[in-house]
Amino acid sequence: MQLNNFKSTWKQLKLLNAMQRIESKEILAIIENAENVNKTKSQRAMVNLIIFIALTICCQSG
Amino acid sequence: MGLKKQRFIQIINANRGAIKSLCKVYYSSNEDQKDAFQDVILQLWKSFDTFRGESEISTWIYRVSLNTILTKVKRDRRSVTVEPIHGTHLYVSEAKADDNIELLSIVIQSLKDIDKAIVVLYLEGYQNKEIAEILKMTPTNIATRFNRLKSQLRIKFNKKSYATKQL
Repeated sequence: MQLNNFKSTWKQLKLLNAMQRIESKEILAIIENAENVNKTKSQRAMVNLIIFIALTICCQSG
Repeated sequence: MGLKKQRFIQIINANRGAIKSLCKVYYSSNEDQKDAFQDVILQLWKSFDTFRGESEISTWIYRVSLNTILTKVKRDRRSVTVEPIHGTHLYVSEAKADDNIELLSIVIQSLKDIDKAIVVLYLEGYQNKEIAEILKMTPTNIATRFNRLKSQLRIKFNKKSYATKQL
């Protein structure tokens, strides 16, 4: 069995799997969802940092 | 929608056949393939800024996709028992498939994860040095693995020649 003989088969397979076009919406949903998750994470980290700083100041002055 | 996103969508659509085929090489169920596809798209998007055009766009797609899928497969194996993908198909529908695709499917699925990547990249026309760069391995390592897997396949499929002739 020669792997070389499968080169055209792999090409054919890619063509078959490319028959259905991917909707722009589908790709945008994937990347924008991840961007939103990252935004929420950094917002949460920022809030936590502010609370931590406020508590540290309160504890030092008290 | 920004220009960057538009260009990214164009690139993904131009290479959708390769990306979907890679997901099907490693995952059997539609749900897992969809998960893997989403992970690959996300990883491609994250590394889109770092792509400087030093290599072909298809090489970048293969590098990011294969490394993402290999990491995912390893992670999935650690958390749950991954169902073996024997008897599954790499093609879209049975009506469109031919004997060679069926045989390629059997051959690929008989391989270890990293060997599947080596074979796919070989079929794509890459040389050992390029395969090594894509998979972050040494060319010697690739050459050794490739020779070993070729002789394994020869033994396996000569033994099973009766079965494969039936396809």
